[in-house]
Amino acid sequence: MAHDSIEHLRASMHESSLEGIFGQLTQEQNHRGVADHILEVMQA
Amino acid sequence: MLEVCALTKRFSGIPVVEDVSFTLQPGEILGYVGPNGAGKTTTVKMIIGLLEPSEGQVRSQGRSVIEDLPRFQARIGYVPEEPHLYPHLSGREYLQLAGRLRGLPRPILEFKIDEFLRLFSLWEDRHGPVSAYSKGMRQKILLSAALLHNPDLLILDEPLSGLDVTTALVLRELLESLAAQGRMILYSSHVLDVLEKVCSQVLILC
Repeated sequence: MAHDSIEHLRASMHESSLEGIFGQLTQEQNHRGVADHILEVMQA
Repeated sequence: MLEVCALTKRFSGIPVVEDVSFTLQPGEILGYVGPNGAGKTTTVKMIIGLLEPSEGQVRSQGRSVIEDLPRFQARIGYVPEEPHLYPHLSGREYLQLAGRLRGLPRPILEFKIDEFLRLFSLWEDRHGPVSAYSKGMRQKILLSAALLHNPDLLILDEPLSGLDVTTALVLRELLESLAAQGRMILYSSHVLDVLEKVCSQVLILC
């Protein structure tokens, strides 16, 4: 969990966007990879 | 190329959409934005053939889409603003229905459904009734249904509505890839910062 001002989170995590902070904190999947897989399935 | 020419819609003589014209080129993501009640959804419904324009026309590859509406509609993937789904169907059953209506061969359809259910994190809930799904889950089903038949024209009406952050980011990447392949995307929304990140062109209704 992270609870702080957005400005402080940006500074402490060296991220310029909330999107980047979210990605770091949740260690989410590779969005580009999932999108590429969806594209492959569409074209199957 | 998609051409929207002087589209107008009146209900009981009252104009809801008036003289809207634009073109959508292959590879373009066109943001369509305007205040509530400006006629965004009505425009979208006229383009896909759900509403008949009072005046004007929609042209694709130089010909009026009315000349062969089913053929034009077969090329469209549409995500409506409201995720109205048959509540008694499961997510899987809904996608089977959508795929059959699109005429997809069963083995390919089943493969695509399984993959989409996994990729959109719906696998565990695939047999549950849509009525028990969250808004975001229903939105993922609508997105999957819109992509099943590999459309070259995507018409999205507030597609991020209810989606979790991860899926929203995946969708953004996907739209960039689809545009890079030369597909056309009309993205209707009132969220300006999303449009700024996603769209290459913007049309502002005022």
